[in-house]
Amino acid sequence: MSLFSRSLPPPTTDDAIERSLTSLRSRIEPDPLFRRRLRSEAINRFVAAREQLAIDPTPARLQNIGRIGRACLYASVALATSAAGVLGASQESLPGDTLYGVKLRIEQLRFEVVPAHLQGVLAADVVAERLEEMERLVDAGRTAEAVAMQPTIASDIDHLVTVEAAGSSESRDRIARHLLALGALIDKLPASAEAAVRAGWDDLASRGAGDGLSPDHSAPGNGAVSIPSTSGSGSAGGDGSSGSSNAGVRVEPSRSDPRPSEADGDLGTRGPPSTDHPRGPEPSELGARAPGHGSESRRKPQPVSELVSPPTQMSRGSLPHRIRTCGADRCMRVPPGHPRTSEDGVEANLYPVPARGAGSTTEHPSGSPSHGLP
Amino acid sequence: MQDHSLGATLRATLADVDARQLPIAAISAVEPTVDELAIAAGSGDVEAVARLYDALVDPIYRYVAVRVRHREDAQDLTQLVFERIVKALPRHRYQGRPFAAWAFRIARNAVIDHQRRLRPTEPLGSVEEPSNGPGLEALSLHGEEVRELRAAIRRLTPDQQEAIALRYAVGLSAEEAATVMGRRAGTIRGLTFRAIESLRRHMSDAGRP
Repeated sequence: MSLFSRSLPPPTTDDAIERSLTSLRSRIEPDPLFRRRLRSEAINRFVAAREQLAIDPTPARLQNIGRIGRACLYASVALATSAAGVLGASQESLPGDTLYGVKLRIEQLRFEVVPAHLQGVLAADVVAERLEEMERLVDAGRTAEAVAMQPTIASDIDHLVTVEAAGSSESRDRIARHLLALGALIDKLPASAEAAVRAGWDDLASRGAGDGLSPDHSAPGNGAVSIPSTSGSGSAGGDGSSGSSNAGVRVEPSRSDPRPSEADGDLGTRGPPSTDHPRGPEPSELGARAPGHGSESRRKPQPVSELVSPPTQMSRGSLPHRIRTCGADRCMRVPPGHPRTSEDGVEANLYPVPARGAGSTTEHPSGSPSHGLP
Repeated sequence: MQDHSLGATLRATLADVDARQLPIAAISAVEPTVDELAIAAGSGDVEAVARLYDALVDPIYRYVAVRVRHREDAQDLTQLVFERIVKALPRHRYQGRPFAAWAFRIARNAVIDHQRRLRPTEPLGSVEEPSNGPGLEALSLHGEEVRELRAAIRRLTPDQQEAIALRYAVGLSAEEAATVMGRRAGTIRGLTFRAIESLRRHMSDAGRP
């Protein structure tokens, strides 16, 4: 087929250069697959254009904005992308990192835009974030920076106490969990840093007690919370490494436990917090104390010391009777007065699991071992 | 000066029938020309578009492939050319100028824009061909002779390169190439002659030890 309405005479020449040039016509061919694909695309585009269905991939406004406008558009997109990347990266930063200041600034901005009734939740999140940062620093071996976070955490705790409603059970729960998490870091710290963190932890605990979060705040030496001892023994509150005498994570005794508790005195049994519950018991668990507590415990708020009692510090003899058996995959609530029979000497398996609807014995709703937590 | 003789044959063919309103099957029982296909396509005939594509894709691809460096660039530019052609076809009306000339002008402008975009990235005086790059060799051109020929073509001036591409790679006459380039036919012949002389000189220089 002629391109220009008439046949073209093939160039005839004996020149080698012209023969080589003429050979280009037979040697340059598009890829067959490309040719077929482009054929289909061309026909489809034509049909769409004929039916006025063609959709220009470039909006008309973008076509007319010119080079400068397009450059500004691309620059703004790039700026937004990079800013989002910086903000995202800053959320993973730690103290001492370049973007950590951005992270703190974002937290401040959140406080400015969040309504008043959510300020407490936001403050609790900030404290939790600081604690997580501290833990990550400890894990990374940056103990000096972790210890240096103590004033910051203390300030955040102050802010949390300020914005939370006074005497709110939720706020106490949150503070208690944060304090317990902070105490859980003690095991990871070297001896040189442990004393400093211990002092800071005691200080934070005393702040929580001093703000009315514990009924025992007025009694020196009978403080609500303190850092647990790494020895795990029941040493006195005047632990050498602790700078505060009103310290001591008091083991919560069961009110129905017949044995006298050491915590009825000034100080309680101490020990490292359980790693199974680094954040302490859940709020639902913290509030479920009715069977073992009398009307006195319902009249006044729970002390922080009771909320943060490490579960591993509880001996089996001090376990409340209402949860006595924990199997591999279930926990049973045993009614008071249930006969205690032992077949293999393991107290946790004393009571066989009855069938559902068997009356007085019910399964633990969580279905997981409670490890002695009430 | 415009070469009006190119459209004379077509105008004579279309004197007795208003081809703009008829599909391609009614235009000619024999093989239609590109202009006839374009007229039919302008009236909405999809088959004419397909046959128009079949007639133009290889020449346009060869013209683009000779003037660009990479196979991917040749394919992208060919696709761009057909996008523009198809987009304009529904509004196309025969005005006495060959449709192929209009199509090649689109391809020429696309190549010029492409080279203009690449110009800042190319080093000055870089006329040597890469020994193993995806150049025209990948387009089924093989052998030392073809490689030398391509290297020699890239030493020509842009007008000479375009004249060589239109006349030899596409197969147009001097008059048709002049229509595409907007020059006189004599100018195209002169460009072609000087281009061949330069190629002969470069090839002979390259063959010397």
